[in-house]
Amino acid sequence: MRAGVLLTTSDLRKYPFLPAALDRIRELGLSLADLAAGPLRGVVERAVSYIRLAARGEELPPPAEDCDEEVLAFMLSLIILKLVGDRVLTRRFAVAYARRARSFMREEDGEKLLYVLGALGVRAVRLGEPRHGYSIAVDVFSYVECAPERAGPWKLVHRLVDGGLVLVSRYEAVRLGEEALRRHIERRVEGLDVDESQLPDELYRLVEELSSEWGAYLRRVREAWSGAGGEAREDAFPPCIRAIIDDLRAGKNIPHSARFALASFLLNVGMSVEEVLDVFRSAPDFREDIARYQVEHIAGMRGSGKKYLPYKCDNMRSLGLCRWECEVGGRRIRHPLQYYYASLRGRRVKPKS
Amino acid sequence: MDPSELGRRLFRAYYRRLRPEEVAVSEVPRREFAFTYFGGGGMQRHLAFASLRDLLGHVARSVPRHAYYSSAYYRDPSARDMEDKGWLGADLVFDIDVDHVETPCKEMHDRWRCRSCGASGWGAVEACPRCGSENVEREVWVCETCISVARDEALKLVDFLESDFGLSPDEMFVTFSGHRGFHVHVESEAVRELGQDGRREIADYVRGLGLDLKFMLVKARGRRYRLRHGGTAPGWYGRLARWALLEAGTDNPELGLKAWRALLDKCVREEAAAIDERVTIDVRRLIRLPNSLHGKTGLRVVPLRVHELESIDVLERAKVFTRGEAVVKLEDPPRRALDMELEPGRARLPLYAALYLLLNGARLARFELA
Repeated sequence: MRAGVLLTTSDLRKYPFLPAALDRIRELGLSLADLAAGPLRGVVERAVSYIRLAARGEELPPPAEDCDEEVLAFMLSLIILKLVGDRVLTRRFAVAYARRARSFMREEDGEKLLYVLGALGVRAVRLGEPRHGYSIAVDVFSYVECAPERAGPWKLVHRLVDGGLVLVSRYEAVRLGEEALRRHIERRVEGLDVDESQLPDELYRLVEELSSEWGAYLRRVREAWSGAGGEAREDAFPPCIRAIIDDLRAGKNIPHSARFALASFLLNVGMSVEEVLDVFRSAPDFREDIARYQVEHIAGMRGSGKKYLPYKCDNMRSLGLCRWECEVGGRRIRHPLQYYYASLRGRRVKPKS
Repeated sequence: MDPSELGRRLFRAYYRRLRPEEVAVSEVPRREFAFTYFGGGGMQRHLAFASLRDLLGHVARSVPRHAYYSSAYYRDPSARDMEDKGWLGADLVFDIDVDHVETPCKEMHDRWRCRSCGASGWGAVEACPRCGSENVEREVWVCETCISVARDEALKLVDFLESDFGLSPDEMFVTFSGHRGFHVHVESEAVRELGQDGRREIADYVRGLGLDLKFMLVKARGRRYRLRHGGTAPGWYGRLARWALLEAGTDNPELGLKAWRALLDKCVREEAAAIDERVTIDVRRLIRLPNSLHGKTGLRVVPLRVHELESIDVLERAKVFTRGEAVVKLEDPPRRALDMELEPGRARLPLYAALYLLLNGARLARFELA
């Protein structure tokens, strides 16, 4: 532990992911069966309500008054999320929990804030003398992993980077902490190893219930999306994808990255492998056998069975395939598919002003 | 002369003499290895070895034309499915290749031929200058100038890694790729677990990609602007300030937007390192094995410490087959290759040079070992 940082039970309530919180619970020697019944019932209710609220994108209530109850509820939430096994749901929980923790981090004095950041793997130091108006420096590799955006003022090229450190404001340090916590929670859930046979019936029932609620929610969302189109509509394609199609039609030899971007995009907006192959037919070096193999691979029909998503906008930009900085309703578009669905819904997508 | 036969014979002799410790790869059991062979047959992937000795034993027996290892560390590097390998992290790797950099020498050795209209000529082109088609066949050669241009780019990159990213020379090593470039490897706990997004930010940074004056300037008097952070600032601000000092006489002048834009363009052109971003972003990349031979040149993939990059004659160190000669008859050769000026006709060449011509597909009417 960093010298000079004293953690109280109130800190553990706010930051139940700290190692000290884990140690404390380990000493209690509880099993999952202990949680399902009796005086610890509140823990289960709290965990379930956190997950339900997060699933709906709502804010979490303040933590339990009792430190142990909050720490247990946090840990139980992770176990339930592991059992439900849906990445999107886990991410929603991680986002909501991290957002609540951010409001606490904002209130901390410098030392404690840096301690919390450190526990989340973000190496940060306080500068003796402010430099260029900044009082905190964050390790550059932690920074690039945890920056909430990789564009605009957060983009590394626009930062003061020196000797492995990035100068940040207090506000930015807190935002980095929030993002680091989100990632920390997602990783922790992924790394959990839960023995389902040890699960009390009561908890098992709850996991089933949450799974089916979440499944129903996803179905509703999917129906709402597919109702918008049915078949792929080229007029709604983003400029980057249209540019690749134009190049192909002009008989240009396009790079591998552009082929991947195009094929994965078309497959994801509902085109069949045959339809995608037809688009590629005008390539100067088109060979049906090779192209079919590659498109089927991207569609998840070969290899690992994973259907690939198109590159997001940041990657398109790095690969030199981005044609426009698109915005919808004043917000930056982050993914070519987001553009497509927004324009299908009739939203006006325009270049960033 | 069959290029495969001679190549295999010479490569075998080289690999039999190579000592395990010269193959500078760390944590061998965690890496994936991959090879291609003389005579084609595609790439053999997903190989794993317990030690450098085992690896080299395999190489000496099978004599690959090209040898690669993964920048990534895996729990099970021999698993055939990428998902099953169990990714544990990866070195941060940068690839510098003059294929995409303008060099004065390409007119001397590179050639193109348009598959659409049949036009052809010297130099490197993106598209056919006559008909505009991008369906162009390319013939590519390496000379001393190529290597020197690539070395300058590598030095710029190393400056970013040391002064901006705070990496020490002990955490990095460089290899000459055996062709027209260099690879810079960063092996450090600090970078190992970086994901694609983080690596992309680093790649964008050294390329100066995405620099936007809107975030770097603040309003001064009238329609003029100055840098948000002044002349002593680190990072791209400092680089831009140095260019301002050179061009405008002060490190934080008040200039119009157009002048700033011109200054930024110049600054990025000169300061950015020309890396192939795909290599850096990819966390599962295969990269050439240090001290293996490049199958198109017969040159050695020379590992270097960072400080050697500036001082060492890379080409001299990369030549392997310096003993022996061959008599060749050249038809329409590149005008320059490695450290030689070439002309059509009969020539007596050192073995390494003749091997290069042979492996890289030069038109040879005659080839005899002298």
